[in-house]
Amino acid sequence: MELLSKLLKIVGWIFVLFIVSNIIAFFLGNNDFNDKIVVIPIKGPIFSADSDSIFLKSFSSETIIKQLEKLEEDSTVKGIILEIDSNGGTVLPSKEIADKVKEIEKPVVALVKGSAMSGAYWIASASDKIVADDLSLVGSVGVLGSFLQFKGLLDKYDVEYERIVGGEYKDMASPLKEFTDEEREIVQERVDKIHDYFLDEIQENRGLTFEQREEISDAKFFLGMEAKNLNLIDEIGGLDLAFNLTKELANITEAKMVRKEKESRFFNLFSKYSAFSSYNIGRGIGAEIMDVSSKDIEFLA
Amino acid sequence: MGIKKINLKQGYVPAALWKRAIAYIIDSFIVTFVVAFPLNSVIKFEKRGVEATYQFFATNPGMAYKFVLVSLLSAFIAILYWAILEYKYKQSLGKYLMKIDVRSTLKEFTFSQCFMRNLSKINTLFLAIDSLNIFLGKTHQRYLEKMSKTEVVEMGWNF
Repeated sequence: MELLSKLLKIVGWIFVLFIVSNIIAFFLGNNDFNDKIVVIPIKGPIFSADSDSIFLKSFSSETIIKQLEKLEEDSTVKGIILEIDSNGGTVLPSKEIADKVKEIEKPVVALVKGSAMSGAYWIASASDKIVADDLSLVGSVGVLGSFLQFKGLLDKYDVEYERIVGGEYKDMASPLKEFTDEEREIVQERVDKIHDYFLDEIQENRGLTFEQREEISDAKFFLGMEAKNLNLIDEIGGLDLAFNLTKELANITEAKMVRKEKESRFFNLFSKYSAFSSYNIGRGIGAEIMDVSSKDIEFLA
Repeated sequence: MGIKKINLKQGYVPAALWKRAIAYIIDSFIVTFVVAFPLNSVIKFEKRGVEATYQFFATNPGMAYKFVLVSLLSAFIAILYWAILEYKYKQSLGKYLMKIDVRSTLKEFTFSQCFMRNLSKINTLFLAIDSLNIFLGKTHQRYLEKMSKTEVVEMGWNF
């Protein structure tokens, strides 16, 4: 009986300590240390598919969109920082990422590290805020449709291009034949349309005035300090400022910063590189030149 | 079965080491999942690498302060669990179940003695270092037990 009474007293004290612990916890508040602000690096050219090689590391819209979708679903992620250092890439992948960034309900802050030009600036403009260094390069809101023309080279070596097409403009931008004025006009028209679309998007995303739009329409790039006056960026600063801004937008005071690095395991890199090399050896170098379909025209933003 | 070494001078049998170990495991369980659980829940903290942890605290100085504060309070509550129960009943729940208790080697048995003898229980590494004397010394006491003039003995073996 005495032992049982002692046990009850011990359990009673455990309960008392549990209550004390609860009271202290109540006053300290619930600090969820798992709240995260995730940094996604976007560095190098932006393409639709990943292209990892020893020499070039690009970012694909597919990979970034997948990452953004995952972060959107993760309730512990309170905000996203896009750490951008890119001169752009192809038009569609840049647009796809920008559309996704706009779609996300969580705060997204773009941090320009180095440069956010062309398609990369498109992505940045879709975020809630843009932070850049004084000397970062921003802008270059333009479209590039240029390509190399080998016609003169082929003529020099007496190589003739036998033109067999179904459809007058099928080989319109083939580097193996002369580019006619009519074809140039058609391509220029498309480039202008994409450029207008691009400018409209930037104007809408950043709330630019007509004058500001005109100022950037010639695809100039600007330093961070100039870009702020043109409303192309919001703040001059670095990662700390971007982090604090994201927390502010997310309405939280504390969060941890997590960096989402692109996986680049040696084995993956090696296998991709060998597969790519084998494929090209099989095709022969000539195959690359002889691929004359106009679908190969790529507009770069 | 081995013959128990009886301290005839003091009239008490030092508690078997395995009993002390099991008692500690039971008490740790109670402390972690009952007593300090509400406090520990305040800091839901994913364990990551040293670099990630450093980056986390570097970018969240306010959180570092709270983390340290909560850790200290949690450790304090854990020490209180052992100190209060041992002072009031000479036993924690683990010791009660293993039928061992704490006694003072002095005439009086104070709360400060109980508090001091349990200081190393805030961390397993500290406790391991503190416990070295059980194996190296002659008295079956931890260093802090020697300092606080206390010992853990078998119940019902006093002469």
